[in-house]
Amino acid sequence: MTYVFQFFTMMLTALFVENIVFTRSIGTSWMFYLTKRPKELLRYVLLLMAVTTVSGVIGYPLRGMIYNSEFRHVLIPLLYIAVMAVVYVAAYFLIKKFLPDQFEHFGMTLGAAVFNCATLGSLLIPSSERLDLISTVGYGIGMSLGFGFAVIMVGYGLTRLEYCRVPKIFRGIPIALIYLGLLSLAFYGLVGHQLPT
Amino acid sequence: MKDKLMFQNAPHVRQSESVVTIMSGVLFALLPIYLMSLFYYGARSLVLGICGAFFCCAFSAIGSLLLREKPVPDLTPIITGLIIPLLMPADIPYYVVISACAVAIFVVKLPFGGTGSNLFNPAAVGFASVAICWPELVFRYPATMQAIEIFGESTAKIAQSPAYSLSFGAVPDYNVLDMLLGSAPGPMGATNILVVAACGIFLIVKKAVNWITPVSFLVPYALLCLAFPRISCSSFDALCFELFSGTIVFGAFFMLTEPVTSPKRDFGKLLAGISSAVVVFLFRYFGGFEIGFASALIVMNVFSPVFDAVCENILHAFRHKDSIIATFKTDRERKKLSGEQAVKIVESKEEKTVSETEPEEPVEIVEEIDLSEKEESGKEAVQ
Amino acid sequence: MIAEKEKNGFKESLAYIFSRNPVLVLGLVIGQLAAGDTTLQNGVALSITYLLITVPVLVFASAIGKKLPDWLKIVCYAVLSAAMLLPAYFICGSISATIFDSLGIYPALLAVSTVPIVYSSKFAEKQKPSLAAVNGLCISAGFAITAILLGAAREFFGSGSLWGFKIAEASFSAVKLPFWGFILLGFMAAIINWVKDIIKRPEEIPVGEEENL
Repeated sequence: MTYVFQFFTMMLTALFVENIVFTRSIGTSWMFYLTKRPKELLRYVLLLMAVTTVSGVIGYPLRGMIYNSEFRHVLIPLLYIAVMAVVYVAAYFLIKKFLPDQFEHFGMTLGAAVFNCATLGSLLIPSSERLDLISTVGYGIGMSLGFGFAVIMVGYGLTRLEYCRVPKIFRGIPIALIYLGLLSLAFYGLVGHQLPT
Repeated sequence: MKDKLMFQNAPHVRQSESVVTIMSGVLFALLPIYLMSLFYYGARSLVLGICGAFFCCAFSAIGSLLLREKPVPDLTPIITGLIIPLLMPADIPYYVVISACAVAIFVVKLPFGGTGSNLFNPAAVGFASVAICWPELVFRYPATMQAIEIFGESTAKIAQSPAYSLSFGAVPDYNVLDMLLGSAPGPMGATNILVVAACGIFLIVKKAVNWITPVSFLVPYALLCLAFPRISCSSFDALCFELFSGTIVFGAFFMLTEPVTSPKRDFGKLLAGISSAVVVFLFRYFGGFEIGFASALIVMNVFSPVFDAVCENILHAFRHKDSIIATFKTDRERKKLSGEQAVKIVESKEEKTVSETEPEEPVEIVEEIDLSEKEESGKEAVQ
Repeated sequence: MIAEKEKNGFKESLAYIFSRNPVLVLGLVIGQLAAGDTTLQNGVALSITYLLITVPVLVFASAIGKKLPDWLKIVCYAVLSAAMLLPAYFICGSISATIFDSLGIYPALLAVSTVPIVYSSKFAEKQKPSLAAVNGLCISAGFAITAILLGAAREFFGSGSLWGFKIAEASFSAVKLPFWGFILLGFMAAIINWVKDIIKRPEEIPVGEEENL
């Protein structure tokens, strides 16, 4: 029972308090990409969840060996990228064999959907905070859901910018960034000054 | 189509006179609150208000010069500049107010296109940004009934505000009458509940503000506070402390009701009010700061188009309920019958089955807008 | 569409420094800058890391990318870019011993950013290695200019110092939080649009054509 409680606490923390986009600012370019394609969102969030969970479980026993190494800032990312590579190759062939329709949709972007900042970030943060296995899995799932939540929030905002008379020099990237910054500010109001860096 | 219809936020009437007349009501309603804070804290509160209003006007003039737009005379910068100091303690240094005004105008108002286009409440964002930067200054309140020096370092006596006591579950040492009259320490303009409520009712009577928003916010919030009390005393006292501490009542009348950032339909306003109550409640209970109203308001501003879309769907279904019920009946009959008979019924009631798809239309339109953004950011991002 | 433009040669790739800046115009590595780039030193360290990752991966992609099977390509790019973190770690260590500690996970996230993963497999494979190298240099230069300006601005306003030396009194410490990073980057992007607007204005481009650029 305590494990279930721990799992859900970690998940909600990762979903709202330490939202991957708004407070950690990871995965923004993918987020802007997905706000244009809302129909791909569910597929992407599911893939993100699967990759984080599987890689987190595989990487957990391995990462303990290199925690205290002098080069941990290099070795831990390298380890997780290697694990993600294994997961990616497995996913590539599994999807190609069992879900050929889905494979057509993914095509070249399957690689980009696996190797990006959102995936690596939701693996590296639990590892840098030295969470145990259950918290790691809960954190990864919460991060993926939080990513979907962020895409929906920013997507609605960018839709709403259509109705605004945005000055010419602010159109496009600038106003999207300012909008994202203001949302991030609202989430900091929830967190206060307690966020670990 | 786009030439004839205005795809813009309220206020839709853009002659300067009418915008001025709407906003002057709000301006007039803010004056008694300033008089009350003059009574409690001395002349510094008035100077803070003038400072905020002046700098907001100056900043928006500078901004429209930089963007090479013709400056439109309107009162919204003055209102923003007057609301910001009211959310802060009376002994706040002037540079905090000026930076809040700068954020409100340069970050929230100008990039989004000025009055009528700001997606977020400028005063809420300005206050939230300085509250994150200088929490030790913004959440440190002076005791009431003392004159604070107009310039220079403040030497005023510091008191613990009820909102802070509540945040760690202690019962504030003030009675309900103190809270109503505003003699409890707190933000400069938000403590005198009676005056604030009177000004809010004045605004409602003058129709500058729709009554649905404050009522649909305050009533669910009170119910939530009754259901989950944080302190151990009689439930009426606990309710009064929760409701009258912080900026809840002031925000409900003056910030939540901003016409630009709130939903357009009455039903949408009702939904937005209820859900703002839930979000403010969560932010105050679990947030890092004792005042979560501003941050919660920013989050709720994002979702106001969602409420509009949702209530549009529901109202559409309500208006066409006859045809929808008819389609349900056909569905049921179709399930009972089988084979050729069912096909015949569908053919005969073709007109009514057409209306089956109608209620979903607004959703589809939202998706289309999502996809057809002209030159938004991510277009080039991954290509 | 972009690949055709790329064929025009080296001059085109110079555009990555300003008018097609990877951060401010294409919107690529925003997150790492907004969160990690809080001081001038951090900005320089991030720029060095980005340079060391981008150029080898793009050259590798254009040299042998085409010969690899589809499923192996991205794996190779990702592992190579993560491996390039090691030299970056040594070079940045000479700036300050604790710089990678203060940057946290953000240098590692540069290894899986869009340019080494997506750009390499979409465009760099069709280019010659020399052009890919120049492209990589120009993209990193554009990134470095943004990172250094942003880092300097945030360090100055946040703590009143530059490269660790105290210059002035300033206490706007919230500028080091990610949301101010986003907002400042937004304003920098607006400045780029403004300058572009001024440069284009004398030529009087007819309305509507601008949107196709």
